[in-house]
Parts: sequence; structure tokens; C-alpha cells
Amino acid sequence: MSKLIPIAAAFVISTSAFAQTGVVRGFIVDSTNGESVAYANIYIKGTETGAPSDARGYFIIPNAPAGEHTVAISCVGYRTREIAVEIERGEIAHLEVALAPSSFEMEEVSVVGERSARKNETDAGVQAITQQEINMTPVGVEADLFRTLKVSPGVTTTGDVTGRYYVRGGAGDQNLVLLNGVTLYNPFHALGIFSVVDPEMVSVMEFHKGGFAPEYGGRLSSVLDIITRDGNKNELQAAAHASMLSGKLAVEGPIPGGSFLLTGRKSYYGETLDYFLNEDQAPFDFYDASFKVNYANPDLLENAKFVAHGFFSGDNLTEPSPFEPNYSFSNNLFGVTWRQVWDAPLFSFVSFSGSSFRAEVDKKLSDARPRKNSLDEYNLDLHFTYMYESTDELRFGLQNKTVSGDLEVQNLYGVRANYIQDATSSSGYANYRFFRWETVGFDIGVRFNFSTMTKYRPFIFEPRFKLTWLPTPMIALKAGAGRYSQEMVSLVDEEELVSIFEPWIVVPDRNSSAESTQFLLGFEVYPIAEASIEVEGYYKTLTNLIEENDDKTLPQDRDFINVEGEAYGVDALIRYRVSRLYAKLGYSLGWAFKKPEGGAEYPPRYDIRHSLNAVGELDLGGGVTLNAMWSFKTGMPFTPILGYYDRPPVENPYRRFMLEEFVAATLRGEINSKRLPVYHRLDVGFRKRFTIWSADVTLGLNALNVYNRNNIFYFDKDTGERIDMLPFLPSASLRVAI
Amino acid sequence: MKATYGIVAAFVAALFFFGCEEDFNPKADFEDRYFLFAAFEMTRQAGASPQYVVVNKLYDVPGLNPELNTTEPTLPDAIVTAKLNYSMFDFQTDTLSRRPDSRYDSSTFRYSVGDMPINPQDSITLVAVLPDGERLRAGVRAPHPVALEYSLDFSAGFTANVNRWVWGESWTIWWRNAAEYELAFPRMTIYYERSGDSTTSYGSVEVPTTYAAGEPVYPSYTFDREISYDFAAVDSAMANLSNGDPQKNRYRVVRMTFSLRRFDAHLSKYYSSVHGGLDDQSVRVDATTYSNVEGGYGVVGVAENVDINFSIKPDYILQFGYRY
Repeated sequence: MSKLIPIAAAFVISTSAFAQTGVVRGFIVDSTNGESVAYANIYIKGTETGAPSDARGYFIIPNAPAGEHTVAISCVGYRTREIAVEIERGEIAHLEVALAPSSFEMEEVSVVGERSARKNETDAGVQAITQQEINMTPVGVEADLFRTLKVSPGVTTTGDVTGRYYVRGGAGDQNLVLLNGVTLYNPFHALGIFSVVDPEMVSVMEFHKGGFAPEYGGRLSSVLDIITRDGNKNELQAAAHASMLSGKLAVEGPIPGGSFLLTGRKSYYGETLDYFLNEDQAPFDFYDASFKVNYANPDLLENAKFVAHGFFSGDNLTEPSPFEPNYSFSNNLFGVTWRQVWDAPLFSFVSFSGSSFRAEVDKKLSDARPRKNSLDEYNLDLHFTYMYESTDELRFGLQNKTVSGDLEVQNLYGVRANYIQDATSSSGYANYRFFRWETVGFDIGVRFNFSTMTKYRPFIFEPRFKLTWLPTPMIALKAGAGRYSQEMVSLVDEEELVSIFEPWIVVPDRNSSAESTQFLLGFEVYPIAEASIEVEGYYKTLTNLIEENDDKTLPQDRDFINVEGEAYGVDALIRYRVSRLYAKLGYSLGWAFKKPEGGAEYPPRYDIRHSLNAVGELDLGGGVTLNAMWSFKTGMPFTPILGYYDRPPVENPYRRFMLEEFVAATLRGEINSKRLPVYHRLDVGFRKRFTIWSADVTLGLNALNVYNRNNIFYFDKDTGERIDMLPFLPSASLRVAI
Repeated sequence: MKATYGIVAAFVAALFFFGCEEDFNPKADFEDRYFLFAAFEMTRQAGASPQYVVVNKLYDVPGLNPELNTTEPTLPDAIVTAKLNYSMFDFQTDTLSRRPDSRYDSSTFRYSVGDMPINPQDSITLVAVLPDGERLRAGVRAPHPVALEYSLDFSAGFTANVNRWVWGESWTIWWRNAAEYELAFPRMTIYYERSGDSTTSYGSVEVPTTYAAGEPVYPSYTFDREISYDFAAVDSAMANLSNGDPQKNRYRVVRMTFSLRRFDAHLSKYYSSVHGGLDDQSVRVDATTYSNVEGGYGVVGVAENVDINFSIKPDYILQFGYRY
């Protein structure tokens, strides 16, 4: 830390470098509620100079020509705005621009399809997901953030009733979910059916499917970076929402120097989940609540913003009978951040945060295996961004993580294991981003680990690079490569289609931390103004993965086995946007393999060769919106039935095995050696927004699997019975905001 | 644009008509597979130690219901031998009649040997050679003997009328020397006689370990090496022994027996892999049934029954109105 201060000071002093030009910077916000507007384009008219706003609405144009200029600000879904600005040599012009949302009813001119102001953005593997994209996916009983991800090419799932997702051939625990920069260990409610994060509290999401920047670490396959809304800065607002499963309430409004947002959600009709769980009775109960307060006071500290946020969620399955087990899971997150725009084109972000995760299976008097996991994590992060006059950027930072965990498990064979872990890691990163050439963008960076949580770590340095090259203005070629490591893993068996206990631990001392080397290569084409086509190929190796040793039958047997993996494929995404219609068509072609230590290579359950997702939203005017999603996937691998045999019964163990009576049993063949039939499903949604007195009311009607396709989920391992995924499932919701 | 909407509508309509379901066969190509099962009893007594073995073969049925199979799966023509430490035992084929409600109309075949006493730590190798030359083999070692210990030894007879300030609310029994991964099935039973006018009938009741929500809790399988019986639960079992019969003096309480059925590591793993799972909510699709048989599938293991009888103190019996 002490070494960073002089470095930062050196950048501050270097403002003289801007003597021939000036700097335009500031924030873009929504005029109706003061929320940040991400990914807006800011241009200085009459020049080629411009920049996009980041996820927090911040932008900076470091090489703005001096003089009187007009700055145009545009963003999809907002009215374009122009502002006159006087830019003085060597000075910084600060703008706070409020954009008004556009309205189709008023036939307003708004941006429908537009490239980023920074055409050479190095964004291979990155997908920015806006609130509109979240809303365009039909809702399945409860709004779910992850349904938006699942239509993204390269993302697969293994069933309708599990939120667990797999990115480009990586396992489920290789995905990092960050909520306001804090790790969310269990992002699912109700056995993974939907996300704990209510989509309505989300401002913007960035989904990194690979090749992620050095500032992100700790996972091999993907990063989902969710930033929640700040709350209405203009007026006090309350919204109540009722679905067939839960009720939720959000209150937001201005406070002196900032705003606040409070949200809460509670289930009240857990029986709805029975449709998802193939269970007659699943007495599920869940809740989540969050707060966010932001505060800025120029008298106290100019150009600074402070945020305090928290998120709390819990799931309980409490059986009234003492002979049935109880299950409970919870997340508790908090964080405080200080965001500072310095006089020099330096931007800093300091954060202290904590994340706590609890999971328990209380067997009571049942035969279930007792299991318990607790994890507490504290982070101190410092991030800096310095922008040069050449428009190059230097990002650097330090990250410190302290983890204490406790895992008590008993496996199927009754063997117990207990892991009590205390670990600390310190990492740093630096990423130099070349944007000085109009047709080339190039990131070169490294993540370095001063101290690590695991005893055996394969490498200290994780180099990363990304390249964007525009041979013509309509085509961007993109590439990326990097090495990644993961020191915390979830002990989930991927063959467990529905998993209720997903504990997290630091990779034990006897194992090396997992690592991956990845390569990306693709292109983005803009054939017409309203459409874009993205194609990206990937290849990644996965080594030192660990899985629970299912065959551990003796205390001295190893708890874990090593697994190697490999994945490659191509993802394609077509976006099309005209005034009232927004449509996306995603296609993936992928291969994934796993090879356990001493075993044969096999395709994991999420190795889906072809998948196609079409999703669209049509604004019919008058507050009516229609949306639809059609998903098609070729069959998942499964383990076929080889035949049947008669085995001695064990139902009465007190009787001697006389071998006179038998029960029929199923013998499985080679693991995942056959594939299920194709999966396809159509979901539709309808929203009608209207005003009653002063209340803004939204009525939602949705239907999943409208043509009631019987998609196979699995065949019961004991009975061979076919279990299908979700049937036709209609639902309704009502939202009232005042 | 209208043409696009038309194409989309036609596509959706086609899905409604043709996309709902398709037949699917989840089976791989059938191949012959063989199974060897044996749960040797650790009887420790010569002259009373028959042991049994069965050899099965894999079968297939149309559809997914194995109960439709009527072709006899047990094989009669294998040569089955066992090596117990340094002694060889040849098994003979038994032909057994099936139960009348069996789906098979044939006899079933089993292999047996008349007297093969097994002691703790004995080494056993079982081999079955099939007519087609296939060879199934399994090697096991009998587990260590267990020693029972009690929180109260009741050498003068069991009674629940103990000083609970001193001895606590329950009676604990430990079985020492058992391995952590060995399953045990403990059970406590009270045996009685009921004298009728001209006949005497015999009966027993199992003692629950405790009561929860008004329901008796009976021991199931356990990886623990101890069990505790609430004295109050024994009282309830004694009180309920006559099952509401007002003529309690017709009942003579004979004894209380603690039975410990234990499986060795192989039978324990087999039991765990075919009975239940980690919990009721998780869905696991590829859990395989445990096997320790080379050249095929199945399980060969050793089980043991340990029975300890306790007399019951007369005054404790009398307080319930029974005879001793």
C-alpha cells in the first residue's frame, strides 16, 4: 500500500501532460430517478473524440480539443441530449448529465442500435447486460436474474429447476458472482431454482465468460459482476410486488447528499415450488433483503462518493416431523466503498466488505447425513484507474482476502470429515490498456499473488491480454488469453442434478489450487445500423480441479480426487433492434471433457453440443409489452441402463442374507455414454403497465413451456422411471409503485 | 415484417403439434454381466455355520420395469469355492422353490456349504467359475470382534428405577473395536409369555430409544458406536407390553435382549449404496452400487449378530402388574 501512494502522486502531478488539450469527465444519470446510466456514449461533436460511460455511469474524455464544443450524450432507451461545453487547455470540465427515458407512445427519436463510442474496446468475452435485457426474458413464477444469463451463448444448464449454470465447459463452482463487488457464495433460492438477487434492484450486470481482466481473480470460468441501483435521488418511491410465490417491497428516495434503497422479499406460498421439485410437500421458506445508501458532500470531500450496502438472504426447509431433516442456508453481505475522482484523470475505488455463508443439513431423527458449512470472508480492495492523454488507461490495485471456514460432513458411507480453515491471500494487479490507436485496442496485464490461501499454488503470476483490431469500421477482430487460478471450491458433484448442500472450502493443503489457461478469438460485425453479429471461439484447459472422493470408505482414504478438464467451442450472438423490437439469437457449439485421476475421460452432464436461444421483446405501445424465448439444445449426456439384476434385499438387515429372495435393481453403463433427446421449450410473457390514481401498476402474465414439451430431466437410478422437466406452467404477478 | 411474423407463427404452431413428446430408450446395448453375492455369517461355532452364495446374471426387459422379467436369473452351473485362511470349501448347488407370489415360475439356485465357521480376522477368498469360463472373485477379511460396555451393567437385573441424578436419564451401550465405517443395527427387545386359560403364547416388544413428538423412535442403521435408551422409553415399552389388556397378571416378562447386527466394510458400503441417500431433496443420477467382486459385480462380505440377554429385576416387573 505504501508503495502505491507515490505512484498515485506521480500520476496526479502529471496533469501538465494535458496542456494542449482539456479533459471532459462526469457522470450520466437517469433524469427520473438519478440512477447511473451505464454504457452511454459521450461524443464531442465535430470530432472523433468520445468515450462510453462505465457501469457506474462515469466517463472521461482525456484528450478533448480546447474550445467551445457541443457534447452529445446518447444511450439506448433515452433521448439523446446535447450540451454546450467550454473546454480549456489543461483544465478539467466536469459534467453531470441527466438523460430522459424515451417513450414510444410519443414517437420520440431515440437511439436504437449504436456501437460503443470506443470502437476499439477490448471486450472479448464480456457481455454487458442491461435492465432491458433482464426484463425481456419471460418470468417463471419468480423473476430470475440467471434466466437472462442462460440465454447467453456459451452458458448451459442441466435442467429447468436448477439455477446452476455452466460457462464454456467449466463447472458450476467456477463462476464468480459479485454483488456490488462482494462474493455471493450461494446465489440461489430454493434448491437453485432462481436467483437470490431480485432483478429489480439491479442497475447493471457485466458477464465475463472468459478472458477476464486482471482485476478479477479466484475463479476459472466466469464472473458475473452485479451492481445494484442507488435508489431514487429525486423523490421518495415505494413499490410492492406480488407473485404466486412471494411478495416484495422496495422503498427508495433521496437523503441529504445522496439516496437510499431498501428492498425485501419473502415467500408466502412455498407450495408453488412443488411444481419444480417433483415433491408433494416441500415446506420451503425464503427471504432476502438489501439496503444501499450513498452519500456525497463536496464540502467534506470533493468528487467523492461513499456507499454502504448490505444483502441478506436465507432459505429454510423446515419439516414439522422430527423424522424428517431440516435444511437451512444463508448469505450475509456488507460493504462500504469510497469512490474518488481525483483532480488528475485518476479514479480510485476503495472497498471494505464481508461475506458470510452458512449451510446446514440437520438430520434430526432421519437417516440423512448431517452436514454443516460456515464461511466468513473479509476483503479490502483498492482499485485505481489512470487515463493518459493518449486515451491509454492504466488500471492497478491491491486486494486482500481473509477467509475462515468450517466444514463438517458425513458421506454416504458414513465417513466423517471436518475441515477448519483460516487463510489469507494478498494479490495485486496491473493492466495497461492501449487505446491510442483508433483501430487497435490492446490490454496487457498481470495478476500477481503475494501470499496465497493454498499451500500448493501452481503459479504466482497470472498474465492476461486482450486485443481488438478493426480492419474496417464495420468489423472488429478480437482475441484474448490468460491464466487463471481458483483457491476456493464448492464440493458439488456435477452428477447431482438437484443439490441441496453445496459447501465452500479453501482447496485443502494436500491439493494444488485449480488452474486454467484460456484462449479467445472472434469477431464482431455491424452489417446494418440495427444489428450486430458477434462470433467468438474459445479453448481452455482446466487442471487440478478437485472433486469429493465418492469412494472414500475408510477414514484414511483421500477426501478428494484430482480431475483434469478441457473445453472448446464457438459462440455466436446476433442482436437486432428496431424502434419497438429487440431480439437476440444466440448459438453455441461446444465440447467439454473431464478426466478424473485414474479414470477414463468422459463428457460432463453440461457438455451440450448445440444450443440455440432466441429471445425477443416487442413494445406494442399503450404500456403493453410482449416477450418470448425459445430454447433448443441437443441432448445432454447421461449414463444409460445396461440391464437389470436381482440383488439381496437390505430392507430388513436383522435377517440373515439367506439368498432366497431378491429385489430387482438397475445396472448402469459407462458414465454419460449416451445422450438424451433434444430439449426445446417456448416461454412467453405479457406486461401491461398503466396508472391508477397516482400509482404505477404493472400486470404480468407469463407461461413457461407453452406447448408442454416433455423434456427429459433424468431417469431414476433405482426405478428407471422417467422424470420430466417443467410442464406448461402459467403464472401472474402484480407490481404497484407509488 | 409480416412475412417474418408469419414464419414465426407457423413455427410455433408446428411445435404445438409435433414437439410435445418423443419416445426415447435410455438403454445401452445389452451385454452379459454376472453378479456374485455372499454375506458370510461370523458364527464362530463349528457345526452350526452354513454359508450361502448366489450367482446371478444380468437380464433385460421390454420397457423400464424389471418386474416384467420371468426368466430365472440365478445360475446353477457355477463352480464355487471358498478359501478360509488355509482351508478350502466346495459349495454345492441348492435348488429352492420360489414363493407362490414370485414373478418367476422356476426354481431358484443357491450354493451352500454345511459348516464353515468364521472367526474374527479370518481371511476368505470366494471364487465362482461360470460354465463359459468367466471367473468372479472376491477377497475379504472378517472384522475385529466387538466388546460391549454399558453405562450401568445391571448385574442384578435391569431396572429403570435408578437414581437419575447420578446415572442420568438414559442407559448407554457401547460396542468397542468396531471400525468407523462399519454399519450397526442395534435393537433392544423385551420378551414375554402370556398365559391363557389353556395355552401360553409368546411375544416381544421392541424398546424405543426415546419419544419425539409423542412418537416412539426406534434405532435404525448407524455409523455410531453407541446407543442410548431413555429410561422413560423403557418404562413406556414395559407399560405398552400388554397392549391395553387389563389382565396384566397373565403376562410374565422373561428377559430383555440387546441385539447388535453388524456389517463389515463391504456389506456396509453395499447397504449404503442401495439404501437411501445423503438426503431427501438431492437428486443424484449416477451413484453406482458398491461392488467388491473382480470380473463382475456384487458384494461379498461378513456379518455378525451379537445377542446379550439381561434379566429384569422382579420389583421393576411387578410395578407394571406383570409376573416375573
